[in-house]
Amino acid sequence: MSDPSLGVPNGLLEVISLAGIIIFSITSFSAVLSSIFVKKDNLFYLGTQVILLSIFLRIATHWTYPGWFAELFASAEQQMQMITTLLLLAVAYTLDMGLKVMVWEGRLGRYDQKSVPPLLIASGRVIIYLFALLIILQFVFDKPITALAALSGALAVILGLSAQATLGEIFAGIALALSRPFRIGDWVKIGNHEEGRVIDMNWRMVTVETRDRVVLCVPNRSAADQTVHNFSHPNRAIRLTETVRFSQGEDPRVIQELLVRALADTPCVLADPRPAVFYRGPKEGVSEYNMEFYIDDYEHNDVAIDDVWKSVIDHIARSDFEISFPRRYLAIQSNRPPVPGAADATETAAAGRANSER
Amino acid sequence: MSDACAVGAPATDRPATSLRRFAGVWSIWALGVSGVIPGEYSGWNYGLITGGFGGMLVATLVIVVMYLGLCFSLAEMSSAMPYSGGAYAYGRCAFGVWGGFLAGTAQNIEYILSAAAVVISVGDAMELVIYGLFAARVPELLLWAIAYAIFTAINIGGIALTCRIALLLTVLALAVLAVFAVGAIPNFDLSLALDLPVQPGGSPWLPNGMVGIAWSVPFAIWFLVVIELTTLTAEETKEPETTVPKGILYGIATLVAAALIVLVLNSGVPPGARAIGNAQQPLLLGFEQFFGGRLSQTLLALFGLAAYAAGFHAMIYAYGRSIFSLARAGYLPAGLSATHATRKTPYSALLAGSLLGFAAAVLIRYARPDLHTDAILVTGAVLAAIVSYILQMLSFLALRRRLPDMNRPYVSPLGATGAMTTFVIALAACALMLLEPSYREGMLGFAIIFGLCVLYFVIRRPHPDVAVPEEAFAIAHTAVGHDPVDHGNE
Repeated sequence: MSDPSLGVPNGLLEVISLAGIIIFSITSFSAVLSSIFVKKDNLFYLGTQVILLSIFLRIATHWTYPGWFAELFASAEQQMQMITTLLLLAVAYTLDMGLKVMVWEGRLGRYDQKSVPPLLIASGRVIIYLFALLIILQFVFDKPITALAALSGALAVILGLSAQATLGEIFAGIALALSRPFRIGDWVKIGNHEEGRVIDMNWRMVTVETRDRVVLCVPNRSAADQTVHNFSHPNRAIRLTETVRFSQGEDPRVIQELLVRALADTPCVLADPRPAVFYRGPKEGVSEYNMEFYIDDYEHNDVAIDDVWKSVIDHIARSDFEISFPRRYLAIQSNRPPVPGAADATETAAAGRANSER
Repeated sequence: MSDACAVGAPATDRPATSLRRFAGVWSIWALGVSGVIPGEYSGWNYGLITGGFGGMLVATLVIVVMYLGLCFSLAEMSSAMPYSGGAYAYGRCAFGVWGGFLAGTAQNIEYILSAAAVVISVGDAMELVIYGLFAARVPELLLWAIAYAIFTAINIGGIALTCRIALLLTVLALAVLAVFAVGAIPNFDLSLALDLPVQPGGSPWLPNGMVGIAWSVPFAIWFLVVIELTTLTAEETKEPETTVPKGILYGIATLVAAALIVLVLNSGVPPGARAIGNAQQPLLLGFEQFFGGRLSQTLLALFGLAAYAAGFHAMIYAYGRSIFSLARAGYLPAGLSATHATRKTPYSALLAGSLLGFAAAVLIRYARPDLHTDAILVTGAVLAAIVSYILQMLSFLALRRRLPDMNRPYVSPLGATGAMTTFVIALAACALMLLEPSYREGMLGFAIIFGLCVLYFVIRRPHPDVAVPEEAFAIAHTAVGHDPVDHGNE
């Protein structure tokens, strides 16, 4: 075999690294072109492509330096330093773009663009690039970074302490946005607060509008700590129960059929899941029935209950039945004629018994 | 626009088609792989001479990246537009009537010329088999005509028959490759792959230096060209929105593996890269070497015949659908869109494509007997393919930009960057081919045919039929160019 020319690969790894350099130069260039002409999101691909390009450039340093870069860099080590710097910057850039595409504008921004404050995004970016810079100085250029690291650490502590409460709200907001116990438009009840519809979620608080059109502002930390009842998620259908009573003599099956018909004839009651009527047995002199039915939006539960009762009353009016109410019997018994002298005591005792029964 | 974008192509709202829905994932895979498999058997090896083993390896890896970008992008577009027009449908939606016509025409030329190039290898293999069995010589033109007649008839015979034959031939051709690989591993010697004379400025891995990589690119394309014919199966596929993308991606995965195995193993077996690079049948030459005299020439020719017939069969399928779609929409004479009453195949498009391909092969054979007919046809086909890739990738990028919310049941994970990469590599390959004087005849042929088609379109001023699915989809999504003549004069 004759001697290979300078800068021409001669070996499997060298040929593969050449292919890698060509391919990832083209893909990096294409990522820039497509971010200009198609969509800015393609800048995310640029980071990954430059990482791969720099990895192949690192592998190829020993044969690319003499042929390609001897005039540009003083030594192969210097070339390696530059490539490593490029690699670390590309990693930082990919992290930054990945957070932007997948988190800030992705998961957190999907429903509401305002959910992440620009300040948080900016500080995130500064931290990523600062960290990359420190690594490059320490490990690539061998410069001591203790003073710089201490300074930035101290700055971080000061910043953290002074903005502790606000930062707490922000992180609670991120936790809420990631775990999604509710979304904008859901009907919720947060802790002991009045129930209402979520109208806004931002980096500091959750805004809920109650039925009375009063707006409640619940801080993110409070919303994240308390129990949340969500009436709209995972699906909007919700079950309501109303109780109705009939006389004990009636056949429960006939009553159940009548009530199911009445529920089925109510427009806002969902056909699926089907409404059901359960017989709860005789109670306090009457038969008790629970009507269980689903509506598709908790916001309209008042209207739904109103409609259901109108329909039930209509159906009962067309039948032979009528609604009963709990009955209690009061029995007053007197055993023998009052004994003179003891009259006051007996009257007091009877009055006391009657009161307790009532 | 957003309302129109939401229309998409839901599974239940599929347009009526005069073709029959039969194909599944593996039928599509078989059609794609069978179309490309002749490229693994021969044609690629000339790249060893131009670039050496290392140069051909680099060129192949670059081209693999181009085809990955192409296949992922086509998978996305074919799921959004599951119609038999392929490139025409995408060009039409992105760039109007002219875009559709130019992309569809480049695609037609690609498949017709590829089939004509492969029929020569089919003829050679048939001749060897017939001579081995009956010791008789048959004129090559007659063999070409027989090959065209047999495979056009199979294609007219129905989509089910076409898919089964494609699957059978693909499995046979892949089995031969597998046997080759098993036989080649013990005979592999890296120094044999590096036995080309080193020129000044080169190395044993890149004997002609860096520039050799560039000259190997068109041969590396031959490893994977026409895989995109899988997108033309959309109207004959059940659930095309999900099945076609799967078929394309399984196909390209199989072919990339096959191409790398063939490149590495076939270059490094006796008699070495120099002899393999100049061989007419590199794979069969390798077989001969390591199985010695135990395999007869007839059996080897049969191996080759299976692969070439597979490719020939799939290419005929492809131009049948492509010509049919353009004719159905009114861009080509309406007679070419006729489908068989019972078999539901576009028989007039198949017959017309076969006649044109046969005529092209015969014409070149007699007009330039001093040159390799198949080399000219291959160059023309590869150039047509590159032009159609450029137009299809431009369509992809334009649709991503203008209709970001269009219903896309499959979304390319490589995004616009993948399509742009394919576009950049295809553009570079096109420029490289224009610079190389030995490709002149093939490129001239392509330019003449393409020019004649454009002239036909300008003179005839066809008015597309807005009821065909490709046109209806494009009109529902865009307001680009309903009148080809006005658009052309802009």
